[in-house]
Amino acid sequence: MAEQTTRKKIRTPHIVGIAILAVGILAVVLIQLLGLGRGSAPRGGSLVTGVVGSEKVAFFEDPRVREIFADHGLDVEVRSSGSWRMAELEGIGENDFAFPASEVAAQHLRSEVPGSTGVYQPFFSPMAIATFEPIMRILEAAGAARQDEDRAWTLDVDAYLALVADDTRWNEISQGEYDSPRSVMITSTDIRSSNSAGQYLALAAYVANESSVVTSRERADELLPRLTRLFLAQGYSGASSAGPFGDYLSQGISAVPMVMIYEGQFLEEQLAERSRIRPGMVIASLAPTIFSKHTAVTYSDNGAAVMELLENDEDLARLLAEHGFRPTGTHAAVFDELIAEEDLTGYVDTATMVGVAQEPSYEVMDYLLTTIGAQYDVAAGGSVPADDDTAAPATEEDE
Amino acid sequence: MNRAQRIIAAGAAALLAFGGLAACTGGPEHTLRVLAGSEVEDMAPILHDLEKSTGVRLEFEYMGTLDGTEALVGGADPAWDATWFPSNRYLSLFPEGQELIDEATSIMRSPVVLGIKPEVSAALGWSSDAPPSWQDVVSAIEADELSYGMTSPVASNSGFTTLVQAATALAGTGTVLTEDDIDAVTPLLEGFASGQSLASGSSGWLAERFAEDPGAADAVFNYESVLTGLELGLDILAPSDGSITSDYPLTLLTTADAEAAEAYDAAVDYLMDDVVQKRISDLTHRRTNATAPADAATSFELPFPAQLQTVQQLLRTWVSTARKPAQMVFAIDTSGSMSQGERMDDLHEALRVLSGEPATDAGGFLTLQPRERITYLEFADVMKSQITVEIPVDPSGYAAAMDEINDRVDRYHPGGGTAIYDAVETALRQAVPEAGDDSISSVVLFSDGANGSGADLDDFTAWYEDFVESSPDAARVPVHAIVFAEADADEMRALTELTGGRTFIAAEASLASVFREIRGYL
Repeated sequence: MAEQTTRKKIRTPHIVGIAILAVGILAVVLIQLLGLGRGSAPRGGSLVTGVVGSEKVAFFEDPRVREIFADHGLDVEVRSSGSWRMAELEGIGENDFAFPASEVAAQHLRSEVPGSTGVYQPFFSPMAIATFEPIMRILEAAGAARQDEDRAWTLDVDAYLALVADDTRWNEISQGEYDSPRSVMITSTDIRSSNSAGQYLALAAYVANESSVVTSRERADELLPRLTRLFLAQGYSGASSAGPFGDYLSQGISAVPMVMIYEGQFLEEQLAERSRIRPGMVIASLAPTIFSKHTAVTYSDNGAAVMELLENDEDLARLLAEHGFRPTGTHAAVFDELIAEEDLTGYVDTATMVGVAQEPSYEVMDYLLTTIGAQYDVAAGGSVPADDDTAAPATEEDE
Repeated sequence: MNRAQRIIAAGAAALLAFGGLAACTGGPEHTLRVLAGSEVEDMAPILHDLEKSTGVRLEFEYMGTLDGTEALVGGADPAWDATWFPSNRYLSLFPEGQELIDEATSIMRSPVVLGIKPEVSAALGWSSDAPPSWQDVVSAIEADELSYGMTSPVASNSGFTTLVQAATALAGTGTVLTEDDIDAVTPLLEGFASGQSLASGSSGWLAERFAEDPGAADAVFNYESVLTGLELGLDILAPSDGSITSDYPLTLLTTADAEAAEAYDAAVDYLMDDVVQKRISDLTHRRTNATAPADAATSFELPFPAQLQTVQQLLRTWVSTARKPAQMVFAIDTSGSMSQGERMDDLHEALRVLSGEPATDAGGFLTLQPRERITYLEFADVMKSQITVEIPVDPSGYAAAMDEINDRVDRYHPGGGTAIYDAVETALRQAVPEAGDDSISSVVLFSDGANGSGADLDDFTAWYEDFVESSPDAARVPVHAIVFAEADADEMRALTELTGGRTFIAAEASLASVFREIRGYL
């Protein structure tokens, strides 16, 4: 479940090699791009095209997944797009399905793009924090994290936001354990281009609004200084395709003490053959949590067939779990079974998940995203709300 | 061309090529044209094996990170398929830059840290267990206990990173540097800048210079990998309140065609292979996926500004206010041979790098800056003209100074013989008395031909050795040479090595781009 933050377009398979093979693959791609392939049957059955959030590309390109679809006569080809902008993609409705990582983005697709035949939510991903044991102990002492009897950590989002609002520095609360002069702050992907950062924003907005969904621009405006700071104060993000989770794995506690991830990113890395999860690296769940609800909008019978397989095929459910997604359909239990088999902690039982934040409406979410995104490009001499003393977040604590 | 169009074009090309397939028997060789920082030159042995293994050849054109950014966002479709700079951070702050990045893969990493002589760090009480904060560094400089070398922040990524690190940590906001912080941090940056005793336009040359002449500074700011590779026994310290790691992203540009994209994929797959990652760490001392991150946190990664105007305001503050002003003497050969071809036009264009309109975007940091002092010596076999200008801070004075310079250099006219060493002697006699701890002094020689009259290299060498003995400050005034047309590169190298300068060859690059490059050394 690798999330790619800088890749703009789907990469074709390797076609370096024999020209004949290249021509063959390119012909398939050509047919797909030109929309000629619908209903025709090249290798592997009917060509089915989908546009998916980048976090799902690795799953759909997994040869085992492709094989199961092929067994059902479906040759599924996907390309990636930012979830939030999918509805604005030209010709999106000519695909068999569009599959953003957000329920609200899917609703927007339904209302903006005619011709949809159905909506499916075959799996979801809770957001989580990739962090370190010492960091969680420091936050526990500061009242913002707790560890249960299974040693699984949970971050208290409200208490965390209060630490950020007070501009708490790590060296003020760490008792020498982590003497960083930096502000306590979660690292995320780029809010302007990435859905996981969007989920973080939706969660923070919900918690900052006293556990209720923000429903008006007026209320959004009141919360925006606090919310903007969560992203702008991180500085530049998206240094490489590895994203902040890659930096967490490679640079460790000194560089990235906490990073907002899809839970599945951590799981997939834990299950990897040469896992880079080292002792001390832990996943923390969020309280309240928020689900990235992968929501497909279908535009054809073949698109619906793909979704029905994802909901009902046991092998696909298992592969979804291995890629870090939690299936919702007939075989929803495989995720918890996998966690038990692998003897992993930190993954809350699907059945016991409570306290789930909701995304605001498309209009409110778009307003939040656009307003924060615009702050990256403020004209010279302009001021950033996050740095404006009159809008100091601390004064809003009592709202 | 977007990806889909690219694929369609490639498909069409491949289908056309299919007819002539019989002709296509040998392994295909793919060339990826890469605009890169000179930092990655040390990857040559690995790139050689990359080509053997995959048939992909990386063809480099080297530029400084900021100059390269300017070239990329400057408008025209770039002539490259990919870039490989130590960082994409600056490029990504430009909307055009973001548009250009198709895909970026971090190949290796190295933070910019302080390499310091052990006796100096011992005297200051610093060690890797007890590294200084940036405030400690500034305090040591202000107490005259520390001098250092760094590259120019407007020319080279390591100097740029050093400046961003210093400013962010000294601002002490715990988060990212913003434009509003810069005024407050400027006095501290001035204190920091006062410790600079060695300048360079590239991290590689800075390291070489320091190795050759360790008396030039107590310490250098450079990549951890470069400092480790020097094997000078330096203490390598990351300031306790933070450093910034360069992540060397190999970057596919959106303007690349499908064939280049395949070559990029093949190169990335090769470079990210576990065995190759290990080899990169062993060869270059950079961190890779083969090197585990430290379990204990002793130094912290600082955030990089997310807003272009913050970075530009920081660079402007550095060049115009904080850094030690440059004292430059340019000795410019306008002998008869300069009348050939476009040489005088090339020279006039190149001189405008210093005295042209200051641009407002990525460029503009290379023009002459307030507080600087420049002397232009026009020579042939005799000294033909001379002008010295101190650049005023106020805008009208600044404009008048530029007019004065341009009036003079526009009247340069080719004619006469070439007396290089007499000119360099005159330049040094002018530069050295002005040299001091509060400025960075250098001589730049521009010539298009061999020495034809006056002193020869042996005469000059003898004179120079006496001169350094009688005026020790002369040892801190390097002579850089720009070799143009028929100039004798070997003699110029001998001259610049003698004086601690660098030789720049203008044969392939345009003369103006060499002037831009050399500006980083002044």
